[in-house]
Amino acid sequence: MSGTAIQVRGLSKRFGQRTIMDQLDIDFAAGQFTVVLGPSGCGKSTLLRVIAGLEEADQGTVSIGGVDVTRTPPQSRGCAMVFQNYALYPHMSVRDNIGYALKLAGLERAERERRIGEAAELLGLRDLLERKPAQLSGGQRQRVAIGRAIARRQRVLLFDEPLSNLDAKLRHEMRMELRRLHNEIGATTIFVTHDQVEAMTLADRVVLLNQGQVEQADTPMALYHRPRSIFVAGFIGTPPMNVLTATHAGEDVAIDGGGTLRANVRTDKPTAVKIGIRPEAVELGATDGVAAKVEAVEDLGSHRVIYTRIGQQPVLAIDHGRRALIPNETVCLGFPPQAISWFHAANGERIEHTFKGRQV
Amino acid sequence: MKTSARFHGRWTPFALGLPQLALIALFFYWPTLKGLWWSFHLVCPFGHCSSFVGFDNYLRELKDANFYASLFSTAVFSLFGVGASVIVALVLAWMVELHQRSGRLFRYLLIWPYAVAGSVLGVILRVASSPSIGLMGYLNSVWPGFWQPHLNGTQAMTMVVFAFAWTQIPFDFIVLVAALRSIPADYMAAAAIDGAGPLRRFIDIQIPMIRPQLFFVATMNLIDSITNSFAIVDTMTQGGPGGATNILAYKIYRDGFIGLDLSGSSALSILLMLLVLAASAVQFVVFERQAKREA
Repeated sequence: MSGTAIQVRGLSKRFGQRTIMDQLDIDFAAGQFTVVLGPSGCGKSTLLRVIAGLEEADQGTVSIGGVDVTRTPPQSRGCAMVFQNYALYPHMSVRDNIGYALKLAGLERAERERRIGEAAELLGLRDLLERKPAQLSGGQRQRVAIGRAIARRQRVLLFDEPLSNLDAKLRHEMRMELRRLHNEIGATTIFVTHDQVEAMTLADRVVLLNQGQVEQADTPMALYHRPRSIFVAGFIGTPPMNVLTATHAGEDVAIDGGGTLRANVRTDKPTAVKIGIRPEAVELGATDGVAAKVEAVEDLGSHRVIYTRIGQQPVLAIDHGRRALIPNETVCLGFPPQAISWFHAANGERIEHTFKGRQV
Repeated sequence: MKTSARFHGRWTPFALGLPQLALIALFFYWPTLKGLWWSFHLVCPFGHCSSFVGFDNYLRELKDANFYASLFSTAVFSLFGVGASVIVALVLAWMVELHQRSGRLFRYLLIWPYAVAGSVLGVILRVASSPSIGLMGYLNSVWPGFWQPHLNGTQAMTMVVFAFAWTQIPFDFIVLVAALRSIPADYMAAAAIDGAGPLRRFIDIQIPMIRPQLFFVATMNLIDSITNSFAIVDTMTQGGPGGATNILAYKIYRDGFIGLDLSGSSALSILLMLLVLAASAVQFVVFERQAKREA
């Protein structure tokens, strides 16, 4: 089973006075696992519900496989969906929950049983088929909800924050399982979440939404290493990217309230910029760097998170060394030029510097 | 719980409750006890003398063919009355829920009839169903003998069932609309995604999920049909024709106040009370079981 492409064009949606999204264009490639990521209230769930047909768009079109489905009711769109609270029919057994859509689709009993069996096998639900949802644990309900969605073999699979009600360990297991399932099924998958770890680990492509607009749509690694705005830089990564206010003049970057870095790009007139650097790229105890004051140290065993300040600006560093650090100690932080992301101070958008024929 | 913390002494709360208690005692417990007393005695027509007869009054009623005829009428009346009320209310509630936009207006309109008193409604329907005027009068002029509720027992029963359903539907409607609205939207969304259209969702998801409320309104309607249907029958058919609509609640009134058989009428009302108690007990047991299952 292969997926089908989805196009969203000029989508606008308002709830009363509140504009959720305005003129949104997004493409979802066939067979790809796309994670729609964003803070709560960014419109990601609304987007998913509009694609599913559960919510009507005020303007714009949705097409699935090249067919305009904007006015098609949800039951005729060929989508399967997993809900955040699972929405398993409480009065039906697991078998009937999975089989309900198959029955409505007019499949013969034998074929229905075969597909229910397959889905149950794939998700380890074999022994739970006769149970009611109330007799299942959260993780089991989650599996049933996924089983219900995949048993239909629809070309489009929609997930609305399906892991947010699970505990951390189960969430991790389900992430692995979902990725494995996607590789087996290959349906076009749209997965909505506010959890950037899910986005990083599951997605072929991440669409980061902010206030109904696409901040960046790219591979997880591109979002991580080359964020297109300060918003993206701050949203992706735990802890997020450090963003420092600075002035760029010549080849020098003077950090407000602190020292000066040497950059690998030059500017002719002094410009206010923001520079971003991932905590793990910050070099602790570099010989050539900026002085910072240690505020706190969190030791997580595998690594330490060092909380420092340059002037008033906080800088986090991830350190794998074992050197003793004490609060109020001054350390020297190195900022490797190739690890720095540049942003316009005014609007927070990324500045692409070209130098020596290569983009930074 | 600090139930009595605000009152000093045990008499203040009692005194506050006294008017209500007095009313209940005077108009509920006293007649009930009197009825129980009378049902075991043979009472003079105006109740000023009596002699103890044990269960004779009950045996007399239980041997009387009229009692069984009345019981049958009550059963038919209750069955069709409750069925019509619940089904019509359910369909109305579903349709109002289906059309969220216009549903709001209709929700209010459909609740209004709840405020109309039973006897007022009886008069209205009596005029509306009169064989000589209005729509039915016109139909009778086209097909003579088409509508004769004063001669045709089935038509008379249809009429009182219709009237009864009319009184119950608003209440049922309110409860069922609330029940439908309490179903989480995600279930309906999931069913829609699963390929179910509005009717399938109604049958497969909504009805099973509001089963407790359906059972609740059915029981309430049933109890009402047994006890509270006097006004309708009295204004529309007076139990006729030929006792076709002489349901128990009306027979009690007729035997007691027109036939002046206070003993037999009392025995009947005690039997009726047992019937209602049984219905309530069944409801109670079912709800308990449901609550336990959901817990």
